[in-house]
Amino acid sequence: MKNKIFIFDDDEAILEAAKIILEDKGYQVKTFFNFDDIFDQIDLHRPQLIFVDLWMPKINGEDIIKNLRQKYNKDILSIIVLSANRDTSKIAKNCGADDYLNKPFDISDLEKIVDKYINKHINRQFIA
Amino acid sequence: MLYLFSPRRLSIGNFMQLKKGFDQNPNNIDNIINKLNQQIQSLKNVLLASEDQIAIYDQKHRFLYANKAFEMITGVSTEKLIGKTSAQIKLPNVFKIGRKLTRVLKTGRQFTGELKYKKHIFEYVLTPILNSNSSSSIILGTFRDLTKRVQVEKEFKYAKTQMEVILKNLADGIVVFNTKGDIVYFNDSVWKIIFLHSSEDFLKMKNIRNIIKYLAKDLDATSEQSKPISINDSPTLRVLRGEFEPQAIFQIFSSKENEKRYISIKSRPVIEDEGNFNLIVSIIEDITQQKELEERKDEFINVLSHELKTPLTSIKAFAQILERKFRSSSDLHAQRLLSQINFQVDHFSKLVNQLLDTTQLYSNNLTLYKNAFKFNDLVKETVSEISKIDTCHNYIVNYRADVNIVADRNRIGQVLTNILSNAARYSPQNAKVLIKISAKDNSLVVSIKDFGIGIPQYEQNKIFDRFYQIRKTIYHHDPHLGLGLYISSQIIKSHGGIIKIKSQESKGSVFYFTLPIQ
Repeated sequence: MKNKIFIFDDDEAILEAAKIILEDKGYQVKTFFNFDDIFDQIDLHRPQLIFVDLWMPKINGEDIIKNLRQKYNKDILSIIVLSANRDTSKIAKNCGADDYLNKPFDISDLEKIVDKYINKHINRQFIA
Repeated sequence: MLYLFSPRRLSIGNFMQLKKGFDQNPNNIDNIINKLNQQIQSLKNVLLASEDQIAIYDQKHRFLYANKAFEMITGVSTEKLIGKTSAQIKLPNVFKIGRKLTRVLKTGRQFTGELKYKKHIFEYVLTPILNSNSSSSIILGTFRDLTKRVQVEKEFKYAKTQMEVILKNLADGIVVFNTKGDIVYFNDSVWKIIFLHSSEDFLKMKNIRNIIKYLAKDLDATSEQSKPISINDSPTLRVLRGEFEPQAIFQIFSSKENEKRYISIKSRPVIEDEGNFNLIVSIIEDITQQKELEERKDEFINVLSHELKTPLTSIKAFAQILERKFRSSSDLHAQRLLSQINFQVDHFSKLVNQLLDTTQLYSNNLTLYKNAFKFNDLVKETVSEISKIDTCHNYIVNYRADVNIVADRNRIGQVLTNILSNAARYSPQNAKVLIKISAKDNSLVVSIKDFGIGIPQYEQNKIFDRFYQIRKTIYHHDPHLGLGLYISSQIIKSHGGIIKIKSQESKGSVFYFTLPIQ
């Protein structure tokens, strides 16, 4: 079974680029340009890792992450903040995300962070 | 004016003394008459020399004496006056003061009045000179020209009113305190700015300490960094602790009016001749509008830099994806071009970050994420990064110390990168850049020396200013905003360190910075 990754960003070019990079690495990637149905989608597809942009239409990414964190703990779902904000690291810490990636990013950094968190889930499954 | 001889203090005490002597010792009469004459002569001299107009009247209002000044002003010579009443001569009407003389004679009390003559204002005093049986015999009249004094008083009063009107209508609040912190003076703007409804409300507080208490408790005053304020934040009290012109910016909120304001308070001692001061002037300014504009500007730059980075993100990602694809196709030319795109995107996003940093630094919002780390590791990383991009300079590090510091690693890395790329920017190709890490007195000292064009003396203290660029470099053509050193100096300062430069034109520069070792 392929590991699933969700990416939430309102910029379609970023979604496309990230999808290409991560699919090349063999992950199953689903992209969203808003937070509509986010809980249903997660419950349905059960991704191990999601990327969340902070400045999104309608709902603030920070608030969504806080809500997600209440429902899914870090063992079930890793959440990475993906943002062009200068204070991304602080915001990520405050809202309960696992990590952050600043925009613009180096694709090797994107790959590294994905490997790190997906491996965590693989190891856990293995132990279980 | 003559004050030696004040008419108010005049009595015939001297004469009485003489008379007493005369009564007791009639044999010595010549001697006494001599003395009396001397006294009268000196008295006459004094009267004559006086700038004040002086006249002496007898019981029937007749002139016994008038001095030169009296003659000058009335235009009537002394000879014509003596022995006559003012009704009998052509004296200007205002000097005809018969009724007042009658009153003085009747009451035996001094009379003071004012009269106007030819645009001059005179104050006159009629002093009864008493006999031994306590009845008035003669009256001394002195007239003093007050025109100049009245004019000066008028001007002073006008200036004072003018000043008061200006202070009262000034949009800025002004409070003057004494060195106890008690309110001495204030204008209306003060109490209006701090949400009070009358000057009485303000006056009730009496002392600066109560004003600060009111700001802190009733208006939830906070500093610019949103921390609650304390007594020690008061610029007025800071003046008393020896500061010259302390300033504070507070945010205040009135729950009654549901309004937020930013106020700036600046205090200064009113220095007197010997350098001492008894008063402190505080100026309170409502800077809400200015602050809101600044906030809007900052917000705009925030959004702008975010929006600029969004397309950069996909450009960079697509360029890197393509670069990888061409790597396998061994098209070196395409690979090089794509890595150029990548490099330029990085440069662009660095510029955007600098712009954002400057905004945050300017509004004191730079947040530091401090952690303990090995400083030399950061130097190694930074130098290796920069050597990858810039292969035409020779970076040599001399590690004289190896310490852990507690600081914002990213920000300090930014400072190193800034100074190193500056060194390269202003140095010829293949030149050395020497980096030395040492420790002294609980401080880490970093020096970065280049052998470039150097900075002229007169520019050296400006290079840490915002947007300051030292002339176009002759070696490189990469665009930059002139923000790097400003940001670096602010980062070092907010860590409690010092940043300095030593430079000699056409020889090179040395940048030093220190960071505290905990």
